[in-house]
Amino acid sequence: MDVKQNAARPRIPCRKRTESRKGVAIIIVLTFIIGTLAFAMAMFYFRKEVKQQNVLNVNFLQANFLTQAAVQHALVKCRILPQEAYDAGMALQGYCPLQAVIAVDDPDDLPDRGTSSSKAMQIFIGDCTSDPTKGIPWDSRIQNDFGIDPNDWKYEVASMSVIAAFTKPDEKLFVLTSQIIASGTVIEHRGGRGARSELMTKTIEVTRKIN
Amino acid sequence: MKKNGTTLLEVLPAVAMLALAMIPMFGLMSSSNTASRIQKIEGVAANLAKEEMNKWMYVIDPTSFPDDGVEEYVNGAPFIVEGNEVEIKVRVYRHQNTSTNVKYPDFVWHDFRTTCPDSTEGNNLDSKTNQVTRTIEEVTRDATRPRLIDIVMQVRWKTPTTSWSDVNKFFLVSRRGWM
Repeated sequence: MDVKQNAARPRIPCRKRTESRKGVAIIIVLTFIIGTLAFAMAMFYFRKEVKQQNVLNVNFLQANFLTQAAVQHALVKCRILPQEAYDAGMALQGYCPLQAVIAVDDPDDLPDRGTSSSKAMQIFIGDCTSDPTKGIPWDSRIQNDFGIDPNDWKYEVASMSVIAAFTKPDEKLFVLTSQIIASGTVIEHRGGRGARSELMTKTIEVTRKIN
Repeated sequence: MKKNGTTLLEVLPAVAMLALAMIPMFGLMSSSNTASRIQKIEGVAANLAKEEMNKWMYVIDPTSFPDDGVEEYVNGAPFIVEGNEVEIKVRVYRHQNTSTNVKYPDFVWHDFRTTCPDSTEGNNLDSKTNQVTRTIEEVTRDATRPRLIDIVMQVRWKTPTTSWSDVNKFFLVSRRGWM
């Protein structure tokens, strides 16, 4: 009876599974492992990238503070030697440093500029550096206390230019507006990124009482 | 006899391979987690160091600085950030005015009444400019207040599960002018 009933039922066509499934488990596992390894590699490189970004940030800070040291050095010199800073700027502008410019109401009435000389300014900023052969080196105890190589930490004032010169007649004051361009360079061995340099510009006023 | 499906002989090596692959993976995950935490605190340490160095460069009165070459915590103790430690120590080194030289230009006298009319320089000053070297003390008549002070900060950091290491350390070096 059962046989009859089965014979009467229409057969549903289905694909006969003929392929062997031997070895499928290993293939699935290998695929999974390869995928996981790819994920791990991506994670590793991302981590490395973040690490490099941190090193870059620290390098920037180190070079930036060296640059600030250069600016500080130049400012101290301008503070303790104001007349010399002014005269060097005057020579750079082509004015005689031995006499004062007379205060004028109209800037057009300022005397003509003569022969410019940069030697005085080069002398003035020449020792604003941590280079021991030219300027004021880092304190020698730093190397002993921290194991820091002073040659890896350098700063200098690259230039000090006069960008404006004018008088304040009411105050009988002659004003030089000067731009200090300072640079700092650090070689940080951690991370092995080599030398990192930064530049900084500081604009100051140098004044002199005039007749 | 049916041969469909996986046999125990197939599954066993597959599971063994999976286990072999996952053991270093778990190790990697764990070390990655630690490294991420260290990197995060490294960023925090850099920011803290920047703030502290700015204070020592521009805010703190140099009369409050520690003695020459004496190490001091900037905050009195290490900073604790999310359970991690950031240690910032500072030392200052004063350049003595009596032994620190400065260079400045000195102009040779020239008759400016005839050669420099109305303050306009008529000479080439390159040959009329000399370099003078004096100590800061000679220039300022002040031997007591050091004009240049070197500042060195040592910054280190660690997580609760790691120990202090030279790898997780950097320095900031600068020079302050005492105006």
